[in-house]
Amino acid sequence: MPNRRRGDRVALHPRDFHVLLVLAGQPLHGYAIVQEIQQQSEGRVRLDPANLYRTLGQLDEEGLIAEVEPEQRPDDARKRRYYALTEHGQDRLRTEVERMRALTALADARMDSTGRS
Amino acid sequence: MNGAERRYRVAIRLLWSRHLREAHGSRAAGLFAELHRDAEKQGTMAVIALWARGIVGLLTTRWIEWRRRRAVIDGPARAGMARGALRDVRGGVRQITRRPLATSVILGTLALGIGVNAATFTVFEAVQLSALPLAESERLAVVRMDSERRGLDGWWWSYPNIRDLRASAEEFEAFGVYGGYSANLMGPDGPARVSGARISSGFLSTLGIEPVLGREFTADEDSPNGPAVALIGHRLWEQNFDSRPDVVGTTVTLDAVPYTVVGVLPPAGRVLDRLLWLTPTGIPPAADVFVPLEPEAAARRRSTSGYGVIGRLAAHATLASADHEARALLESLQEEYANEFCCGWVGRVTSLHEFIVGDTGPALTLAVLAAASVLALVCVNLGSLLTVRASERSREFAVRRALGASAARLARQVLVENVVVGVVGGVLGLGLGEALVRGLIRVAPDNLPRLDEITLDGSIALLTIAAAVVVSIAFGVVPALLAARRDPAEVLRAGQVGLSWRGARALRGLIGLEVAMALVLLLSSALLVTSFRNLAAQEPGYRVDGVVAAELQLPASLYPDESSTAELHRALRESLLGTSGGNAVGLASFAYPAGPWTRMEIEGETNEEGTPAFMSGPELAVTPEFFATLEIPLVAGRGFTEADDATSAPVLVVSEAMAAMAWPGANARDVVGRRVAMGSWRPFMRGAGQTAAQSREVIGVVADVGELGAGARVALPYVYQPLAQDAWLSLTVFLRSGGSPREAVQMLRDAVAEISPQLPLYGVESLAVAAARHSARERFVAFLVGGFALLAVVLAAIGIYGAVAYSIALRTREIGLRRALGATSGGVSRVLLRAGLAAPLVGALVGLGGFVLVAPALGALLYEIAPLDGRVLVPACLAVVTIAALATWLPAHRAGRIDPLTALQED
Repeated sequence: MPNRRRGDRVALHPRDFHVLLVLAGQPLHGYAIVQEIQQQSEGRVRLDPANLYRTLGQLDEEGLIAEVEPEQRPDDARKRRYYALTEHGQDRLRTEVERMRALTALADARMDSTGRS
Repeated sequence: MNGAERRYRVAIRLLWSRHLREAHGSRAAGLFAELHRDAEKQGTMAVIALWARGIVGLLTTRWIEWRRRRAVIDGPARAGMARGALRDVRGGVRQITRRPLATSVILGTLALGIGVNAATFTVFEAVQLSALPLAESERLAVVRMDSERRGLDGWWWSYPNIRDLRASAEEFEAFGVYGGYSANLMGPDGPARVSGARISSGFLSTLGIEPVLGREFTADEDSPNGPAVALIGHRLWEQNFDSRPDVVGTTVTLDAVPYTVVGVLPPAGRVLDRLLWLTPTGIPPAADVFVPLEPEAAARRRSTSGYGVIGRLAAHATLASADHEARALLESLQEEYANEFCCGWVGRVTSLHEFIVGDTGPALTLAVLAAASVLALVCVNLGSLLTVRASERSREFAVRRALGASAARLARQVLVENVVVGVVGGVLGLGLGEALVRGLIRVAPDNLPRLDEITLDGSIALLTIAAAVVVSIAFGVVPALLAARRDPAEVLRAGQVGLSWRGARALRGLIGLEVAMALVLLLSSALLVTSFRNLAAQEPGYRVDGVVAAELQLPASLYPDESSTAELHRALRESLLGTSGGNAVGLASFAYPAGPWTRMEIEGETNEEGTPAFMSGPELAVTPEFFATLEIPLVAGRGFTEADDATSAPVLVVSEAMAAMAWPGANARDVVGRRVAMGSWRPFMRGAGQTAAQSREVIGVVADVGELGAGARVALPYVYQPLAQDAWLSLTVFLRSGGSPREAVQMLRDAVAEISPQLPLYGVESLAVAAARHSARERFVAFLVGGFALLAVVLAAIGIYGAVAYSIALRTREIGLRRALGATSGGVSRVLLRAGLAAPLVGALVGLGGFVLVAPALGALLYEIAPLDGRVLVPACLAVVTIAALATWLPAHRAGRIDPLTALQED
């Protein structure tokens, strides 16, 4: 049962947003996701393994991401699982970004009219 | 899988539901391991932060999953409450992270206590409580005998007695009999010394051990003239036979005789090694080669030393009934063969478990008690830390209550917070515990049994986490609730946040308790360490410093007669003495504690019954220089000379203990000139057979020797013959040189290699090292308990410092006022010091009193020191009081220097 909170008109949870955002570039495995998120948030968001995989599981359930086979697998002893955005996921991310853009535009306009300090 | 991943998996197992585990468990653990590697590069703080995040993450995901399920089942009605509880968890986490220093002290204390306790209890349980890894091991028992008259405990039955036991026993369904065995094994790289055991045909099935290949000995093979067959141990199979499956049926050459291999044993584990270690001849533990018992044992006499007997109890039998049966049998045997028994033996049956675990019992119990006291100390410390914290927050609670929060809501919040603290502390403690177990295994002595079986197991893990949660709830929630119950208006009006009068008294009580426990621990450990040092300083009655020993086993094929052995003895002596002036060389048939016991008739003496008096004692054949090399003093008469050889009159030197037993009341000088008739059974001699009893004259008396590392507690009745008159095929060389042990060992090896390259040298060891190994267990216990005591004192110091500093912080205004009114800084410090010292002093007195009560129980573990020895009591008490005073003085001294102006401006 998809969670209503995650309907298209409702804001994404920041953590979900971050995950979708790092996957927008390329398919990644769990470790790389944690690293990328930490980098892109300048160290403010550090995901622990438990929450990461719970989030991935949930996004997968909602059809926003899917497990994929990477085009070329690096010589790596352990079989890593890679995740990529689905089309639905890309749409959802785009919607979210647009929503945020609209919000920031609104905020800019408001703050301009009330005067800057 | 590395350690971090394993620990994280343990946490997953404990904290996650099966559903979550199956969905994400192994991926999360793998990722955690990678993050852990990164964190390690950044330092300890990063690792701690990762662990904290990891554990909290596990908890929150578990919580979210639970909430989602509840939401599905109960609908939205519960959602509000669930959100509240989630908020509490978040609040708890925030409380933990907001004050990193205070939190790390609390978490560190908690983790320390739990880790130390988990590790010690794990070792204790593995060694002491759990069953042996043998089939139905609780039905296995060991048959031995004691002689109260001679003060001899746990001696083996001789073979004829065992045979009678086997024939008549009704309380046992099967027996396994074994004795020591070692031989020269011809291998691809020349001969090597191997050891193992002689075992009876039912030995393996009685113990429930299945050979991995082949079978155990049949009754036909285990007979006096049976075929030469052998079983080989797993290690030898791997090393010498590359684990070949077709090894059964091939031959191995032992002491130049080909033996057919009939089977391969499973990896021995220490149970088998330990059994072999406890063989009557004390051959070093290894389970490499096994041969049938009967060929050697069948001809043994009733009066000689015996073999190990393990029995499997019959279905209807108990240990008590088996003990009764063994007692009755031995009693009737002693009546029947009065001539063959010396010492009034009483049969005794003990469980195999007790036999193997042996006397580690009290020592380990002590370690567990010490660890438990450390846990108690940790609880007390936590109690005072959390009490202080709760009282600090009483103002926050008062405000929130005034704003309408219900007491139940506050209680729930504090509860959740403390559970979070407890769980995180517990998991950290678990990690520490595992590290400690590993460390303990590394430093534990080899003769602590069953170490190979030790792992930190799940139930202990769960227990420690439960303990952590209970401790943090008991000491965190209750004080907080008391604080919340106070009238908000009163708390807010008071302005100054502080402890209630009752709280302050509780804090002082806790400090006193802490000091008392630390003192008891410190006293116990100081005694143990002193006792250990006495033991280590104890000479066994012969010189160990600078002496190395090595053993040789001469094949009868190379040394067919007495002149060839005499030639070897001479060559060895010359080669070792020749190189430099300072050496001394003694040769003996065996090393201490010597080998076979021999029966002696004391000529001219009679028993109470009028029959000729006889006794048994260990026999050593030695060269004339032996006593001088080991510095064993001559008490009366003379030692051996070169003139005492195969052609001269048979002579004997006896130990003082032997003289006292054989001729009670006679002094040493009178003993010289008396005669003893003795034969000897020499399993290692060529042409194996009993020599005829021969009358020998006592020419001297030497001092007693004791056991290595055990002090001179049991002086055995040694008899010594000249090696020239009694040439054994086993030989121990003692070399005392001015050089280092390593040089001495090399000298020994070179000499033997030059004289007879085919002879393997084994048991090469410096006697000082051997002595240290023998006292390893005492050292281990002293080390453990000493560590605990140190920990206890540190904990107590932290507790005192924290509590005093806190109570002074509360009085800052008052101190400022006093100073403003003209009090000197010294005066203020003195007032504070006096107030702060009362509790530790009372605690020290209570601790001293408590120690006097428990001290007698320590007595059994102590060597040459009384439990209430002033040399230990006084310094330990002084140390504790000094540390307590210092911990009080530091904050008091600082408070005295507070600037009155700043103090009054505060708040």
